[in-house]
Amino acid sequence: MHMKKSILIIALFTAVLMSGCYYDNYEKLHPVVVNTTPTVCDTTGITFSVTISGILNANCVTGCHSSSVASGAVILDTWTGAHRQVLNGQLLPAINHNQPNSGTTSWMPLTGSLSACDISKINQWVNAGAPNN
Amino acid sequence: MKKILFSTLGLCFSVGLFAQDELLNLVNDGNQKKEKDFTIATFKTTRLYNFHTVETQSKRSLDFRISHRFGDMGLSNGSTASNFGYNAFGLDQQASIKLSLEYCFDGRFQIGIGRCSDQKIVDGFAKYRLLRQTTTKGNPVSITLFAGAYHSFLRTGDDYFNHNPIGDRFSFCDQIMIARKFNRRFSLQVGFAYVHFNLVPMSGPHTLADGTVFTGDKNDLMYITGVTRYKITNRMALTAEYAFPLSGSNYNAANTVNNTYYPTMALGIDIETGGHVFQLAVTNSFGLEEPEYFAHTTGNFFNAGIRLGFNISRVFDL
Repeated sequence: MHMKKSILIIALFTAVLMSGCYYDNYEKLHPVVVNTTPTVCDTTGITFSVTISGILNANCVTGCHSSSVASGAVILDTWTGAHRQVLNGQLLPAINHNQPNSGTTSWMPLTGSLSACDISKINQWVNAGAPNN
Repeated sequence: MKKILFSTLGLCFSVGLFAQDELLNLVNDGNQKKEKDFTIATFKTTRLYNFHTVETQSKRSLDFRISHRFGDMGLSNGSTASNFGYNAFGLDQQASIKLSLEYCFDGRFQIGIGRCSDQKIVDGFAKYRLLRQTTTKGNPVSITLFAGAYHSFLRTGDDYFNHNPIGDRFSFCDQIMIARKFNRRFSLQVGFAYVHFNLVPMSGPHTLADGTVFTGDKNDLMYITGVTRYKITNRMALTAEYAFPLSGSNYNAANTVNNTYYPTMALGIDIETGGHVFQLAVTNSFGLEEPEYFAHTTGNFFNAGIRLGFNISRVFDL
């Protein structure tokens, strides 16, 4: 009788022991969704006065290629200066990084690069004849 | 024939009172059960402070327990040492309290229910004295099994428990405790505790505050527990308990050093007076339920993350 009772007790304990049946993890159940749709690059309506000068002023002019500080005799805060770099063939290799990084084809900006969207906008402007618009 | 012989012998020797017991033993050897001397009072009561001990109550007794933990004393909640006295050593801060009723059927099998303010947990447990230490040769240790189920009624105000509204609120603790009363003064207990949470908050990988990579919260956690008491007078004993985590720790946002929970421990005094046992101690755990104090202790015992508290127990013999 005593032995039977012990077995019953141990069986009861085992039942309680085995009763944790979920293995839920809150973070796994509610993953944070990251928005991975890429932003589309808008290459319509590119003008020098708005689009191109905006890119050049933000990345190239201040302290490097302004009318007052013209590194390598390159001026990019006027259409005349930018157009000169198109005519001498130095603008596109500099920003596209598709020529050796030295001399007249040194990669610009000095560190990193323009965004792919900005590069495609400048390419498109040059292909359109680098107009002063 | 044999009966006549034995009864004659018994009559002959019935004058020698000193020898009577030995002779009776001879006659009844096959039938009489030898009474085992079970060690009593390995610990004063069924709990040391937070931890369960191998003790159960006496037969058909009901125990009403009140456990109260005052607030955090100091540094681990951001206050400086100068605030210790100002906050009355934690008495002014948020406290946790647990009420429970426990009943023992036959001195070996005990059940209990309780409710704790921390996480609004309602719990039920069963405890069974598998083996009892004997003063004579026989059992060198006492072994007790413990199984508890805990349900949290906390309103989180978000969708934390929504996946399994009832199941996710459950946690469980199962323990095996082995203790020995070495002498009148000193008892030692070691145990193994298994804690299971049905729902844990964090998965991985995350980078912790100390730069290591955290792979995710575990639903199963295991601990080695150590419990000891040393009697200094007939009524008073010094107590200590500690749980060593075997499975590491889950993510603790409050710990800005390494984002872990701390091992639970307590140092205290037991005072026994008639039907009451008063237990006073300092501990670093806020929670009063097994999964909470094993796995979710936020106080650093050695950096003033401690709190005063007491247990009061009143036993009614039914």
